[in-house]
Amino acid sequence: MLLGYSRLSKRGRLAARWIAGLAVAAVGAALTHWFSFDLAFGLIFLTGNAFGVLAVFILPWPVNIFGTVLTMLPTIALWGHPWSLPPYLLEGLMLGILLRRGHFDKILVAESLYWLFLGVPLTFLLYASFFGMPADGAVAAAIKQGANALVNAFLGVALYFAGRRIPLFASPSQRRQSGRENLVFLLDGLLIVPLGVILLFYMSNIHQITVKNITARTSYAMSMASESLAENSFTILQTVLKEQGYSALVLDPSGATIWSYRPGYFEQSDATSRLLGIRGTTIILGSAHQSNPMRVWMNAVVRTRKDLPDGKAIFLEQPFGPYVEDFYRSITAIFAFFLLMLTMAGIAAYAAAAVFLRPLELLRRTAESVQTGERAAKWPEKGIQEIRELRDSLVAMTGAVMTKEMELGEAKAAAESMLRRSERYTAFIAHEVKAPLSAILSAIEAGGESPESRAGLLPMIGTSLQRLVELVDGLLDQATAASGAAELRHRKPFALAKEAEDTLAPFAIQARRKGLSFTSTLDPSLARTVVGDPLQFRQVLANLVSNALKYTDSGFVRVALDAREAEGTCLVRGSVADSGRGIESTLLDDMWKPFAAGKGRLADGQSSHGLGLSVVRRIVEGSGGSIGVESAEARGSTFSFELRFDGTAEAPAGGVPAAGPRPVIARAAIVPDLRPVSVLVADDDLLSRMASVHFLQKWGGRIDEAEDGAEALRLAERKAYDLVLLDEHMPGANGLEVARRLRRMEGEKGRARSHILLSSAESAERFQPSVPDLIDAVAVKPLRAETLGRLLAARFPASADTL
Amino acid sequence: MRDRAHRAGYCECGAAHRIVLVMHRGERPDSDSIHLDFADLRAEYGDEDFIADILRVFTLDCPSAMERLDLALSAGDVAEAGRAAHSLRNILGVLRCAPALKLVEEIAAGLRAGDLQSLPGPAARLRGAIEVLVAEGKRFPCS
Repeated sequence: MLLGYSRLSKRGRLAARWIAGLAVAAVGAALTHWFSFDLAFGLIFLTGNAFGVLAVFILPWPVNIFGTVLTMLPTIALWGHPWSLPPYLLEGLMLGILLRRGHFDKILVAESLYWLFLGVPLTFLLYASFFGMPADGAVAAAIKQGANALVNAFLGVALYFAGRRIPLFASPSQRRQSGRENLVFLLDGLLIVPLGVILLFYMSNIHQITVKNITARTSYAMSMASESLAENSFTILQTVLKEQGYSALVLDPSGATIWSYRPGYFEQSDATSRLLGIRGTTIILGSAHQSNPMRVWMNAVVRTRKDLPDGKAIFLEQPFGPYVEDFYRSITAIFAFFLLMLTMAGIAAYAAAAVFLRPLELLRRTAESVQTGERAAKWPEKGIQEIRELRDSLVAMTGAVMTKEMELGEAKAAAESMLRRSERYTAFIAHEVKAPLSAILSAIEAGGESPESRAGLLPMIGTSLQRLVELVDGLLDQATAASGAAELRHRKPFALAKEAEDTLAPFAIQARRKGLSFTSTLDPSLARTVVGDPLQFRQVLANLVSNALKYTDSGFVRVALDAREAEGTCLVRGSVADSGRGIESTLLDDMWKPFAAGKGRLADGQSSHGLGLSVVRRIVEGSGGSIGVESAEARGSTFSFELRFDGTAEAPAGGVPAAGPRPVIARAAIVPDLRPVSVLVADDDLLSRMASVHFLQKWGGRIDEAEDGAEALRLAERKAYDLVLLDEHMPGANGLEVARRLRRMEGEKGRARSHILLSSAESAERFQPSVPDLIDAVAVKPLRAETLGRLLAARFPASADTL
Repeated sequence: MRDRAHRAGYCECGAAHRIVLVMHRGERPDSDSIHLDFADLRAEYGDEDFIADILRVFTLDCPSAMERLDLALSAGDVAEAGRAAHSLRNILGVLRCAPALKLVEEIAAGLRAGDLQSLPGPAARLRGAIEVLVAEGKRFPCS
């Protein structure tokens, strides 16, 4: 049944607990009735109540409050009264409530306090009032009862602890045994068990000693009485008996009474008496009709007999009650001491456990407060070494958790901010796209309704398309500037002066058309080759100059550039000054953010997406440089920047070219313009080569093909190519080897090529950072038009007329 | 549960030929699921003549490369098998046939690991796939 308990239904488990609890209570009752033992003169130590306490644990609530009473029922028969039961009923009630509320660790201390302050006084009152027991006996009995109950409570808890792992013994919540319960039980046991043993031995001995003393005293009185009788001095005998408090009876050999003194004392015959003790010729007799053992002893007599040589017999008898009452009086203090010690043991055990476990309790509370987000709780400062180490570990762990929490909070705030920006960004893009699209749609509809007006609508469509293209260009530039990987892909040597001159030339024409003075001052120090992304250099310059022209209605736009070496890098410094309308002070901080610049500065009919300055700032700061602006409203602005490039080379022949008018270059999104570009495609695989050539021809390139590396080198010897596509794996010289030898040729002939390596996906990442000097970009095979187009568009932007 | 992806392509002959790429989630694609995706080829290369050109080359070069791979595998020549797998990767890459490319990658991985014992299965599936692809390529433009 015990093994199958966990498989029982809820009702089955309840029934099982009923049966087991009542069985335990019955065992306790049996022990109370048959296996209790007399401590001294009717003070009986009851063993059964330990099982009564156990029954409280096992029986279901609220029946369990009767567990102790059930085991004490036999005392009605044993002691002839029911007045011992109410304190046990209250004890069961208290235990039941404590268990129901889960205060297992407080059971022993509660028992101590209960019996000291309630159980013992209540027992005394009941015994003295309802049972009519003399006060001395009632006090002794009550205190004994309390001490007895405390020992039994400990034994009951011990039985429960021993069996609590058995499912039947306790509910699942009760089976969780805390360290505090164990510690209280251990400390209480260490104090109670020795005290209980001492009490038992002491009581047993004092009983024997008392009996021995009284019989010795009676023997002495008998010797005096027999001597007086031998001298026929009845007068003396009577005096002695009176002084000693004895009755006397002298019988002749036939049994007839010769002489007596207070013979009424000899009322207890053998038939109505029971023998309580015997020592030599002295016996202690109690009434057979008394059921209460204490009353038996209090009403007992001590009787002794001596046979004289002449055949006569002398009997002496004395009431035993006064001796017992004396004993009860003297033993009351001892019992009280033991009860107090047992109570103190319970309290001390609980207090010691509380003190010992206090740091752990504090740790638990602090950990809980951290978990719930409170910060008021403090970590314990005292405790044993292990607890201090545990505290330090928890403090460190909590610190780490809080740091992570803060980081997560910041990350969450940043993500939310980014999400809000993204939403605004999306809304802005949608708005910017919708306006020109609506204009185009309207124009088309108008053209459908009125064919003759179609020619007049074309400029409007063109303007709207141009605006869309500018928006896409800006977005692409921003995406490129935001991508660190893009910088590496576009790195290559380029001539600073030439790039600057090519970039500024179209703006000179634009300025002249607007009636502005346009001055570009290119310092001779620009006559050098640097390694970096020329596209980004052009973007910085073009965006700043474009803005200056856009926001200047009259006056000038001045551009100045120089370069110098700094810490192994080339620092390009530039300024773009205008005499335009300037920037409002409220816009100075926000204008670097996407879509923020330009608001409130544009004249009617002008448009701006506000992307240029954010792109410029990303590029400049990404290179390790800086950018700033000085502006005054209605007086103009001056943007100053520093761009960093790696390594410098000697200046090419020809010095700094003068800025002059050149065709305006507009970049396409993906489609490159290869019309003036000569391309060499080296790939041993015919199909791959066909695909590459197909794409390149479509974009206008002049293509030569090579089936292997050797042929590629031969062709490159004879002709200067702007772009070379090299397959990684070719018979003979592979792609990298060919690239190396082509670079060497470039050094000799002074013409730079773009090298694109065609590679497998797993090799692409390996080549990218390892051979930047040989390879400008890596294209993953199988080659896609979009991939190759995007790569080439960065180097060979589509001209305006291709859009 | 089967996860089907359908892509439809239409031939100039007027007949609607559905080109179906069937993938079984969590399973290796088999030769039955491998087809040429002409719609994808048109989107990528645009020019029908060019597609016809590369298909002509494909129908010649791909079986040849497969034969080289078979011979190399049967002879245990890992280096030659690797070169043949590289050629197949290029050829099938241009034809943009991902399931077949996956088989080639599986074979290439086995070659790199030196595990020739595991290759006959993938090679047989690849051979079957190439036969399907070549047959389809020969039917172009009425595919």
